[in-house]
Amino acid sequence: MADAGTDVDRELVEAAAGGSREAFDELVRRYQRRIFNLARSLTSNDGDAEDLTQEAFVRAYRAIKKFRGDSTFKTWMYSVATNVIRAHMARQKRRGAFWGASLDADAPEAPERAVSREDVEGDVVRRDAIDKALAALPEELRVAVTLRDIHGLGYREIAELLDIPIGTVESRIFRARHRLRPLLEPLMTRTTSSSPGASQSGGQSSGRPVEAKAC
Amino acid sequence: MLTCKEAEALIARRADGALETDDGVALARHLRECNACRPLAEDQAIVVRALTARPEANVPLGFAGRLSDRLDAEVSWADMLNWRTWTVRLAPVAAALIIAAAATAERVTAADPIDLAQVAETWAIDPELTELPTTALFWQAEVSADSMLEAVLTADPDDPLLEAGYDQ
Ligand SMILES: [Zn+2]
Repeated sequence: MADAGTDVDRELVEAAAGGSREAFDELVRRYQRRIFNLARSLTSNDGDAEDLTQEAFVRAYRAIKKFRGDSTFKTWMYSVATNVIRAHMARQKRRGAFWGASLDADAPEAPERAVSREDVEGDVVRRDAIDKALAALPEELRVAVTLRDIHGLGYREIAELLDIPIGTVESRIFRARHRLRPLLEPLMTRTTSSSPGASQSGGQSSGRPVEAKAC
Repeated sequence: MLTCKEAEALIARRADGALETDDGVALARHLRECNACRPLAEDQAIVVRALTARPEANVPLGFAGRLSDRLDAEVSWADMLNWRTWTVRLAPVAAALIIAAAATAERVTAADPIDLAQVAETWAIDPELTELPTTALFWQAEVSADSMLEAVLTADPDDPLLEAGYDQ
């Protein structure tokens, strides 16, 4: 992963740490879309996503003087945001456990409900379909695969950010995708049929339910 | 030969283009010989394609303004938390209270002068002290507003970036 020497945000971070609100505002402009989408894909809720994005930036603002540059600002900002979002998900889960399973944000939805074929239309619906499929995963799998496949963070970066061994990151991502495969089926079928030119090395496996590993 | 369990990590990495060359050779050999892992590898690649194509959501309208308001509030809270300013402002009040308390407790007469120097001494902090509790920062002579704010914000023993009981 990039060290501080190659951090494209370094000058802004130093200025913000020195008290420049303008510099911090520019960092917000650079990252607000990514952080909002992180919160959106982890919570499947626009209102929560905005609140959590704001909270992440407020915490970053408070803590930026302590940012040592051991990682890039991007990794650090993702780390702050991920902590805020995971704390929120843990609260939701506790609340759900208290009030009953109906409020449990982690309660897996039936695949038919998560993504229905006729719903898959346009960006909003496709995004919603993906976020709902992610919501059916246990939190630890959801976070790992979202950071990797939607946000493009490296395996080592994710390991540092979540403070877990890199082998655990690989395993979580593998298992997350394995569980997502049938949940995303309607989306796959649509994507395949609407873009015949797209290269699909695994095209023939579309429509086949994922089976338990045989070995 | 890799076991299927060992192949999983490599299958995950191959699907998103993060596989080292040596590992790629070992995995290719495994996939040629293992009928169970081949479809898994295809599925991983399919899911990666779907997720990387997730359409990004726009930040809600007015987000920047709402965040800006919150950051402004942070700045004024920082001022509020500067207790040195407060202690200076409240010093005359505190002095008056001390005098009133002393007068009541000891029933001093108007002729008995109160030793203000002694009163001040009891409120002062020993400058030799090096290890001060967080609360002592509030009374320290040379504490900066920044370290004061940091002390307040990081008083929780847990990582301040974690939840830290900040539940709103
Ligand atoms: Zn195998």
